Amino acid sequence: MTAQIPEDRAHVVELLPAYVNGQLDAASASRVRAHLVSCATCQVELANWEAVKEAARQAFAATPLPSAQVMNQVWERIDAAEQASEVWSWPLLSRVQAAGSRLLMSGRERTALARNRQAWLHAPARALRRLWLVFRAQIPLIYKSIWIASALVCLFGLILTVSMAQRSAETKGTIADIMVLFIAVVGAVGGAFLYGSSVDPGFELTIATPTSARLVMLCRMVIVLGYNMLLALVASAVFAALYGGSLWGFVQLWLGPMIFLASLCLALSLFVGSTFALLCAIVIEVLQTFPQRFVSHLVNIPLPTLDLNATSPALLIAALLLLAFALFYIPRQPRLAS
Amino acid sequence: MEAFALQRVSWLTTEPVVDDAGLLKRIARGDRHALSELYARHQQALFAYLLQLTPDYGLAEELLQDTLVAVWKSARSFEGRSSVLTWLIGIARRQAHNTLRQRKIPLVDLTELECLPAPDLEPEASALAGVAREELAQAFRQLAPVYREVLLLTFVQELSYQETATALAIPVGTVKSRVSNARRALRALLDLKEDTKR
Repeated sequence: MTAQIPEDRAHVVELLPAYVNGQLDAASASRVRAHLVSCATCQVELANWEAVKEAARQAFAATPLPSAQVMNQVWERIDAAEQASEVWSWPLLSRVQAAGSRLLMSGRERTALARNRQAWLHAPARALRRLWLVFRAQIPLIYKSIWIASALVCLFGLILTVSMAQRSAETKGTIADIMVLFIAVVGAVGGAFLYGSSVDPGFELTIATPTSARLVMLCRMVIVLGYNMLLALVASAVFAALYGGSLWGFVQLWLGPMIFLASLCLALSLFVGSTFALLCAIVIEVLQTFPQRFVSHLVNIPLPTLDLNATSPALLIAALLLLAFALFYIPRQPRLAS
Repeated sequence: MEAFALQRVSWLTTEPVVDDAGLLKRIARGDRHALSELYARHQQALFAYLLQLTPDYGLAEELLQDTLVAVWKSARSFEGRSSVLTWLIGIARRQAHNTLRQRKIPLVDLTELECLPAPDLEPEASALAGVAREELAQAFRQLAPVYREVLLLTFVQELSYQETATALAIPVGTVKSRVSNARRALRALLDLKEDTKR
């Protein structure tokens, strides 16, 4: 419509709604004003848009206000949600906060300054509580068999080493290596079945919540690794009691390999699969245990010798790198949560 | 009443007036007074917007509560890329759409959209200038929610096309065409009324 009209005489129809709303920049607005002086068509259009604006304004003016209870109901909902998430784990703190909330509810005229201070004091506690809630919520979501499998593998290792010591004259070092093998495998089981859609019954639930998947995985890693370390510590105490020697010295034998294999299995399980990760860990651990003690003098297979059976800084750094890799590999916020 | 009480509080504490973005920062830190103040500032705009989407006063209040709870939870995510009102309307729109979808309440009357005159007709076909105010207001109330919301945001809240597009999560071009279509729909409703009179 405006194509044939010279630039300075072009109609400004398309600009008129924004002009009526005061949304045009100064230059465009003055161009519209100048054009309107001499253009009857655009004057009619302006009147039409002003009529639309008037209708919208009238409708807005006729809109009733919401009831005065809206904010009270909002606070009730916010309090209910916060108390529901806090009351179980932090009874004392939540009671204090509930009392604080009641004060806020009843005395909203109290100074805003005091409330600000309270909010500031609560902020770190809130973050900690949230972290604890996420941490605690993972326990029922972790693949149940991990708990039983780890305990059974550990128990089996202990029984095997005790029976080996009674039947044969194996040296204490050999028996310790076998025990370390079992303990390291326990760590590997934990890492391999920690997180992922194929083995994780709570995976769908996890990715449907807005909580960061990285945080969830880290919490699970701490829980499972902590549980496995506890099992290994108990087994080590029994071992040390039976054969004598320093408990800490024995712990040092498995601590590094356990953390390393758990991190390795976690990374591999995310990339390939849980079973593959576990098999890899077992192969690595067997390769580094058996060539030294048995295989080398039973059959002459040139197996590689890995030096995993000690808690070395390099091993711990490798474990940390693998864990960091796993953490960055999974998305921080899965798509389902958006 | 509540707005008055809030004004009294800020007078008593002689606090400097905080802008909307500052209020959101305080809400993110758990400051309840800040949420009350933000609500006092924008309650009419939010409620009027929600009432364009549903004529049910009770449901609109429920959606308003949903919006405020969502603001309390997600104040931290405000990045300042739009105005606070645009951000609030965006939240209200999402809450409303989710709830209305769950309850199977339609938002757009498609038959009304189909009845619109073609956009290439002469401007006279959507002339509204001489129409009586009361008639126009009545026609406005009968418009489809998608038209009422876009007219409310652009002509009453005076959001720019860009801000309206952000709030409604639609392209700017759609906002422009929707504004034009809304005007034609108003004219069509008035014509329909005249026809029924005859």
